[in-house]
Amino acid sequence: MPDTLNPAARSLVARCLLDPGYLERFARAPQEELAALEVGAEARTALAGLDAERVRLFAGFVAKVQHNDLWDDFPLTRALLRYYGAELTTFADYRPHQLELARAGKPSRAARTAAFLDFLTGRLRDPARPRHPGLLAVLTHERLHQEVTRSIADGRVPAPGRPAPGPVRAGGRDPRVVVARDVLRVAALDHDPRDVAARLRDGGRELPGLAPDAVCLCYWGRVDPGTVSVLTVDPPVASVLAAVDGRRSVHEVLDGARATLPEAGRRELARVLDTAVERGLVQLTDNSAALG
Amino acid sequence: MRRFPTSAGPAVGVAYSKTTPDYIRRNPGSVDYVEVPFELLRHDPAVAARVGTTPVVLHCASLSVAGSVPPAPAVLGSVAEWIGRTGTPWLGEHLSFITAERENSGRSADPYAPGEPWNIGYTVSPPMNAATVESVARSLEHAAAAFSVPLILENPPIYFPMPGSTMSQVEFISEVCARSQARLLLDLAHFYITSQNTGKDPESELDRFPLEQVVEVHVSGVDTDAGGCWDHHASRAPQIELDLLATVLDRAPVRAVTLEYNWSSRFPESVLREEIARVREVVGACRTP
Repeated sequence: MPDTLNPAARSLVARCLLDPGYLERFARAPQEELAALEVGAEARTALAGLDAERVRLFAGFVAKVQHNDLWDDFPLTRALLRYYGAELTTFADYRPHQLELARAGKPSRAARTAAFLDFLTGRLRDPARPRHPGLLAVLTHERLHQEVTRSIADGRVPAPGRPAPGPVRAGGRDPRVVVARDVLRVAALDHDPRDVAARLRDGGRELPGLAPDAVCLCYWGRVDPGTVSVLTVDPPVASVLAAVDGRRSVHEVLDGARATLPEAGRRELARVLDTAVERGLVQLTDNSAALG
Repeated sequence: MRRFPTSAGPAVGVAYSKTTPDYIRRNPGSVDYVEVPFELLRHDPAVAARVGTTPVVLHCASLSVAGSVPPAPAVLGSVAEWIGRTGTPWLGEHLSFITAERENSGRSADPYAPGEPWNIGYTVSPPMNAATVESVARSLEHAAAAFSVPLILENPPIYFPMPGSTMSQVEFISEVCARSQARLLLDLAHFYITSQNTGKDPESELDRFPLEQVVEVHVSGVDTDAGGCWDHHASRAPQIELDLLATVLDRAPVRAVTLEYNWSSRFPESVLREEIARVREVVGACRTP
């Protein structure tokens, strides 16, 4: 009996691990799927004993191990997933996506990482799913930090335009282009990821019941000296900096900031932009040079 | 590359990770060898040079010894080549399958790579029965013909009951040893995981294990998640593993103890040093038979 059972058992488990649609069908109606196998009744009975859920979790475990490099670049996200006991189930749910990505071609490490993080982000934003306070903030924080770090390391910064100094004009159309010096990203988060990280290092102190405590962070990367600073900023500053894309003019940046923060006055936002110029986060440039 | 140490008492080594070369350089003499995966050397031969003169023990996850789909001749040839290049005293391989037949795969079989065996990409504990024992014995005979060093078999963790199993893992491994005189790599994390996931007492199971065949031991971390126990090479080994290690060293002709902390490049170097010291303390307190 084992001579036909062993190959069938190995094949069944392998297919369940590599064909998520089959695993789902097997879990729903094992006898229906087993009826298609060329094995005897005794073997079919033995195969029906396969625990589909444990196999699904094992598939998630394999996916998890195959994403071990996440520890390198997203250590807090990974640690917080583990802390909340959500690591294995997350990877088990991600497994079908991982396999689909692999079948489309050999994805790069960056592509694999981005695909998983996009999946995790969507999952954390789903109001129907269990809450994991601070996890989305930490994930966003680590992604932006890494994005800025990579940008300055690769030299992916806006070309410096011809400086066009002078105070920002709140009224009228100020055509000067606002350019970051050198890379800026902004995020509005429900929790301060640095506080979450400290609590995690402290054994998860009060994490599960952590109440939202909104914060705006600016990730400022400078090629020289090759640093990334994380600055806490208030909402008007966040709205102004978020509107800077290296192509928008002063008045377009102010318009964009007001769209995000309608309660802020144009003069206030103009002062914010002036301060950002003074502090070296952005510069005002001549239109033609910036577009060149 | 230096040869594996032949001094009395087990050598202590680490499983390779990308931080290992720097660790060795900063902590000369901390480890007696590095265990390197064959698959990594095949992908990146420069790894061999990165460990400098530290002896290498070769580890493998490509032979599917408990399956019936034989490895490709090119794989066998490459394994044999790396056995020679590393000077490894043995080849560690998992008592598992990683490929499976696709012929009888059921309805709407996946069109992806039709005709090729399923390649799981991870080792899986096999159906533990007499037919698999025979299958493993045949694999060992082929390995003996192909390789210049013995193949030693590593116990896999059991995460779910495998259909067709008629034996416990200890019974299965004992049968394999009786049939083939196989030497063993006892992974204590896997052993503990299996005991927890199958409801057995690890110390009682160890009493029944064919310890006289064990030449290498693995130590690493264990996770609990989703109602089960799982392998974790990025956390400290639980104390139970060190207790089991002491028992094994008292009874088995162990030549090597490998710490597997190779899943995260952020595993702190200070913690690795502590773990090595922890293992050396147990080794030092025991007299290997």
